[in-house]
Amino acid sequence: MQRQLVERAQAGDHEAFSVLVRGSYPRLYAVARLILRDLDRAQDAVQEALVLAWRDIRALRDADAWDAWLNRLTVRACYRWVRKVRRRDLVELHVAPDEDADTSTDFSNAVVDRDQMGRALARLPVDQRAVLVLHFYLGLPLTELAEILDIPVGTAKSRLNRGLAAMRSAMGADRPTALQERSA
Amino acid sequence: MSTTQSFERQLASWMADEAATGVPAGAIDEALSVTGRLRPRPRWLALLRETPMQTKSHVLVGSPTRRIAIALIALLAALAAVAVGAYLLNQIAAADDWTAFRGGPARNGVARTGPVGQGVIHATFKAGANFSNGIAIVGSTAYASSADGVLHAVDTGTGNELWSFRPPTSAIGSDVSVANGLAYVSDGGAIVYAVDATTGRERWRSQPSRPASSIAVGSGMVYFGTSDSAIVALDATTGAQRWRTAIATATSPIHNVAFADGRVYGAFDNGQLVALDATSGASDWRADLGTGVFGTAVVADGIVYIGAGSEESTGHLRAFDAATGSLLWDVPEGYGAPAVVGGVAYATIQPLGDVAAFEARTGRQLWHVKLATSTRAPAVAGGVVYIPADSAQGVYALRATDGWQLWQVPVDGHDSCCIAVAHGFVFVATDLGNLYVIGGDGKAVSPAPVADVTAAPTLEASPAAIASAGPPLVAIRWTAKATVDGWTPNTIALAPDGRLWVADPYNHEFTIFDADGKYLEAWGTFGTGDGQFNLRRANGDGYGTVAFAQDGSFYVLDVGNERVQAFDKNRKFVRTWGTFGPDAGQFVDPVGIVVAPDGSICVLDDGRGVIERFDKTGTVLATFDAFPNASKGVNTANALAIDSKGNFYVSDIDPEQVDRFDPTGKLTMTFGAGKFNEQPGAMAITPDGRMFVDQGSNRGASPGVLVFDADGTYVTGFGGNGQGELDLPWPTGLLMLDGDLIVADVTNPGGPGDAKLVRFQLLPPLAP
Repeated sequence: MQRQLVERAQAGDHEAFSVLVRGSYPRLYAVARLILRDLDRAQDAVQEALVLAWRDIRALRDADAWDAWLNRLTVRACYRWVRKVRRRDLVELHVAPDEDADTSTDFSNAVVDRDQMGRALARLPVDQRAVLVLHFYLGLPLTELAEILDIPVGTAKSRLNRGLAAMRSAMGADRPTALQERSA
Repeated sequence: MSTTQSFERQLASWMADEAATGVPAGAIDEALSVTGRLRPRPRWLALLRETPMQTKSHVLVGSPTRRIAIALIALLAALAAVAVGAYLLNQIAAADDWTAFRGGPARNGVARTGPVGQGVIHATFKAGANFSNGIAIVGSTAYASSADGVLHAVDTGTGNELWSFRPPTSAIGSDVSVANGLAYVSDGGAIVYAVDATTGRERWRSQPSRPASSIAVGSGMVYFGTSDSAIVALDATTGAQRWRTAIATATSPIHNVAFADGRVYGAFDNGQLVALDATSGASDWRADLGTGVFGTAVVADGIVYIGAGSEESTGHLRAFDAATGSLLWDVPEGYGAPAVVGGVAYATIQPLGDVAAFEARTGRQLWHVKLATSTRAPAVAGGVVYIPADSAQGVYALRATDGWQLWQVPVDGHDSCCIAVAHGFVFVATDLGNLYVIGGDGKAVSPAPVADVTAAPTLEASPAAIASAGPPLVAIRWTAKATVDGWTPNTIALAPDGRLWVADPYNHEFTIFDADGKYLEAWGTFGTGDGQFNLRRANGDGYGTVAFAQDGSFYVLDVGNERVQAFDKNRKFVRTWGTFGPDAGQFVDPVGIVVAPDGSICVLDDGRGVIERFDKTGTVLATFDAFPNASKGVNTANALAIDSKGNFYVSDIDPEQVDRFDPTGKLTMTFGAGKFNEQPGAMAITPDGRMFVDQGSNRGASPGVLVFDADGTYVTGFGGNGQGELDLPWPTGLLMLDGDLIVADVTNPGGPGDAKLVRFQLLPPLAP
């Protein structure tokens, strides 16, 4: 069914595209929200992704890749929004766990502070945030998210591990313990 | 169950809960409404536009040959653009074009992009006769005239000739200037030609006088000097003469004229330098250099440079105020036409191989190297100085900050004229008739002292000083840091006890220094309770400002919690006001807070688009539109400042400018438009109204702090984008203190130097 809708949309059928969008929008919006941590920007990013999807829908060679492609367009739109507000992302940090820090916090028994989780995610660089969201929210395996992000699997794995480590560190102390770099 | 698994599961669960919030009402319909007004692109175009997405087995999206196809299309598009441009007059040349001798009508030798990496010969065109005139590069076409009198248009990608033009009268004897889709040249007789830049067909010819200099094009006219010591202006479209001004004091041949900012400048062999009004030809000023001239006048940032002397070994490089003709400085050495960018002039003593960098404002020498070759005038692009090596037959690339050699590429003959730099290439034409296109291999290059110097490089000022292009505008009184992990200084406030409070949004606290720069303590804790702060918005933006009242009480703009918190002078929490919302007394995206001279507290909220005035209890006293001529909304302003008279200053993002309002909210001035290369940020205002405004790191070589007079006139800037002590790669906070300027800067994220707080003494002409 989706394949047929994509093919009809590629033929210029906006109604078919509308059906596809209505089915995909909640997922894309959630991804953008988690990456950008901002409702308005998330909506803008998704709209930007959908405009690109409609304009370039004929670039889709395999209609079955529709969902993956939309995910890619959305993540890229999020990247662009982060760049647009680079001035304000002044203190966005690349953090890594301090070698000496206690990372053995037992999260299994703790009720993790949800705000704390949000803050820890927000402190990650956007490329790490994207990997975590695609992996833990969408449940995509590393190979697939690497295709979406157009990065090697090893890089995806590295970002995943670094992102998790940084979050754990931040959750443990509610602040990163080692500063590696800031990103614009 | 490992803790890792547990955390990951909790993360996934948290994300699922976070994402469970519904889609905003109308969002889908809005998106569909937008797309419904558009049409999908043709498949071939869509395939090329979209970056390929592929599995190991097949391509899912886009075209795997996209890059090649895009390159071809870009080439065709460039040619098409030139064709279209031929029919559109008064078009402005692309910023990366090199439209005339020395780059353009101002002759300042500056290009945007040179080769990246080690220089390598990319293409070669053989003309059949030697080149001795200047080259122009527009898009992917190079224009050059050879000694057999033919103007060639060459495809820079292939080295193939696109067309040639041979005047029916006599051979071309001038440099070529390209503008408005036309290539302008003059022959050896008395005729100026305008040739279609795309086809090479003659569009008009004019015979007003005997041209004797290359042509400068600007303001719809072409300007050139004549052999009978006059300067002539023709209509660029028709060739009709607009004016002709004979220079009575000049009794010798003229050198190439320059045009900039409404004036035409010409220098004559007998030492006369004249500035004429470009519209009327009336004389604006004249200077007598006393001796012969080394070629072309150069104009950059309101300064005219000219080399003069009886011979190069005893010559002078002088700088004049372009508007008044007053002499600014005089270097008693035989340097010729410089390349000028970022407040630094790079020049060569052509027969002797000397290369030096000078401060544009003062003439102070910053560095000097000596090449074992005669040279031609340099060009500069992207932090690299390109030196045509005449006798050594090649091109040197030197690092602009210290003169160290990056690479050297040999060519087959002498460069008897000059080089051009454009679109990532250096172009060299030799006396053997070859036009070389030198590109870069894209690899990292290790700078080294110039290999064949006859004297070691002399670094006479730090690279930082060069990059800052400002010394001696400022001098450092002290530099301070806070011993806080991840310290990220932001806005600065002055407490009545003389201490400096610097917001650290990363740690959600304020770091406190004494007036001598001694770090004292950090104060503040993260949270949502009374007396706790969140100096970052949920997406990680770092903000948060404190403003002091005269009695020592203070107000913290708690941006992440969308509220103001009031404290007494003992830092005891007093009250809070504000919640998230669009109404009076609420905040959507508060970005700045100040205490006005009357004690009221004023907050800039770009989300609501207002500045709102509160009394000490948080009662709204007044609200006014803070964006009457700029975009309003979340992320449309960076900061709020106030001067001693209660005037407000808002640094806008779209457009990048600063608005000033009187205390009632009336817009009184907008300034800085076009001066910022990045978003304007923090501001500081002196008692006499002079304004300092910083801009972010993504600004290229432009200064980190811009200075404007009280009437909004741009004065100067300082703070380079390097790692030196005077550099300010990412200034984030400004404060005036007893005539000094204090700057917070995050310097080199993660690297040496890291963040810093610097107190600058302002030197003349910035000194109060």
